[in-house]
Amino acid sequence: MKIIKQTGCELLALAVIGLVVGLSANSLRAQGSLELGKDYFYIPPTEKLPEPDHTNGTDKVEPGTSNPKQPEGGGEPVSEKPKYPYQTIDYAGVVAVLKDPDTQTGLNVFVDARNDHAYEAGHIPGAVQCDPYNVPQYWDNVEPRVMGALKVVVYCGGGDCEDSAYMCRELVNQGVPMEAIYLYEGGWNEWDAKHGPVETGRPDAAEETP
Amino acid sequence: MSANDVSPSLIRRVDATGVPLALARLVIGGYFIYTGIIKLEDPVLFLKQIKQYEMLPLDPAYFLNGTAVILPWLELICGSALVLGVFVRGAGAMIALMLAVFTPAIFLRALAIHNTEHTPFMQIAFDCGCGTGEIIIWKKLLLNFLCFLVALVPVFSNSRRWCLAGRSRSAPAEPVPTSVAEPTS
Repeated sequence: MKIIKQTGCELLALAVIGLVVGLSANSLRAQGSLELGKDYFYIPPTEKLPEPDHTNGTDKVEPGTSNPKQPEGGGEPVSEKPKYPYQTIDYAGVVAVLKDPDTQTGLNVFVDARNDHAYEAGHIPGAVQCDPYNVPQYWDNVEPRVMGALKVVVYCGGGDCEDSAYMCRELVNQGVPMEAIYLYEGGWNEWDAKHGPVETGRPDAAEETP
Repeated sequence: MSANDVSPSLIRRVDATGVPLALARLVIGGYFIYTGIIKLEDPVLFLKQIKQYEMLPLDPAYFLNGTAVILPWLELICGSALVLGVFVRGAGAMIALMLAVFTPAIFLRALAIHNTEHTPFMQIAFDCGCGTGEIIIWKKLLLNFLCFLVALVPVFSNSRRWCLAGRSRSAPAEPVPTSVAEPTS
């Protein structure tokens, strides 16, 4: 009985020490700390999608892109609920954006939502990196590029990776118009498999240095 | 003098040497220090990994985020306590408790992958968030089971040899000096 009591007391003491040290270290951590109350995995419901843009008098969908509420071909509305409340873009669409002259002038932007290591190992040429779990750390570099951009193409690893969707959410929260955001679901896996052009290193940071 | 004291069992005699406890402390303590540090290096990655188990609610986020923040430190603290020999019983019990939760969770996730993707169970591999990277799951389950057994050694050992804190229970009887043992008249 004494052993059980001793074990219980020590368990409790260790749990309290772990709690105090863990929370303190998280609040003191300069990089990589987590906001305890933030739902990092929240994706807005698809009902909040912006209405298709009718201002130019057309409902034309650009090649390679789609709006979940406005299926290509203008047929019957899709019965399957889209996974994300953002416009999606496929490989051909991304290639088209990459070749678009607006991309060279910085009006179209690629946002890489993967981690530092993956980004430096290879990314879509011209892409700027932003970690959706730690936006403030990257935002100073990302903000001047995405604010006012015509198209912001966001991607992550592809497959089961949902970081690009979280990045889209963060961009909307920061004030980037939802109409400008395109989610490339195929992500890096597809881009790499289809041998899309690749840039390595960290040119997004290098551009900042005079 | 009880019968146990007269002829202690083999387990008790081996335990009394302090060697099993010392080995268990170093192996389990060292392993949990290592995995704790790995998890602390990238809290976001660990958060994503524990989210995949769908054991904790996403809303409110405090449960999931709090677990991602506290668990690596708990592992590091328990591992350090074992290596140093402080709160040995509690640290062993805490680690055994964590393993008792993690291991079934890993098994259930592997089972889900087996059922959905029809991958042979023995070939299933994923990063379980254990600090070991992608690993063949049956090997991980076996490793966890062995770690669980080793973590129980500090809980049940009565030896506190080479520990910073605590003293042994039922320690082997010291030879009593004749001068003390003899009754004074």
